[in-house]
Amino acid sequence: MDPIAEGDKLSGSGSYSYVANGNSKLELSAVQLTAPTGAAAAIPSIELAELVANNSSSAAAASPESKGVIRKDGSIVTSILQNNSTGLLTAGNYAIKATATCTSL
Amino acid sequence: MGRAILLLIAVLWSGHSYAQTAFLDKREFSAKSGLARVKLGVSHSRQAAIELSVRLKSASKNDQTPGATLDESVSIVPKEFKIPPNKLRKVLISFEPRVTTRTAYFACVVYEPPVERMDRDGRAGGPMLLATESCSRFWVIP
Repeated sequence: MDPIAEGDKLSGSGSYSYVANGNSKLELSAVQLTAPTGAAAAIPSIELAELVANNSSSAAAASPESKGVIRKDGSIVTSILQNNSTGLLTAGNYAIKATATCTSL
Repeated sequence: MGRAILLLIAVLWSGHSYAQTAFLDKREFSAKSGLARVKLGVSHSRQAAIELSVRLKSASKNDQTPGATLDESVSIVPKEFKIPPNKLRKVLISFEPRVTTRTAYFACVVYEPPVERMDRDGRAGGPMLLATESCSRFWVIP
């Protein structure tokens, strides 16, 4: 991950490669966020570019069915955005967790 | 159908291709004897040996999405194991389906990688974990 500091946002990036030789789907689970006590409300987000993205802490998000062979390479971007009026991130320890599930159909 | 499957998800955090595969030789199993026996092949292509765990799941709101993990009357051998890269490990899942119609199940392999840490100016930061799960759907016929 390459950490980026930007105002009230904590973010990281990486990359993925997704290969399937038949019908498949990719689902990103609800994103679990842990924040410091007393921190302002924040929105966690994970995006696998051109496949699936999720910024919900209660619902999963799924890609369309691939309908056959698929090969994709792209970036992964994660972030925690507090959207403070001060533009500052509450100090402390944060954690973000999700599961990417590929299903062969 | 020949060897049905496939499916690799590869998440690379540092420029290396990390694939993870779970595949089935068959996609349909009979529950006539009361017991379904499903053989799953598991492999990966990360750089070093990793710990994988296997789960049997029912279908979720539709038959395309894995739902709850099933534990009752389910045997998975081995359920958790360490496997070197590019080696194939056979896993046997046995369970009592008790179905009255053709029903979808999912054989899933999960990898929880070490956490990645995001930091901001030393004042805010923390771990980020993206686990990868590879599932193969199969059907049980009464």
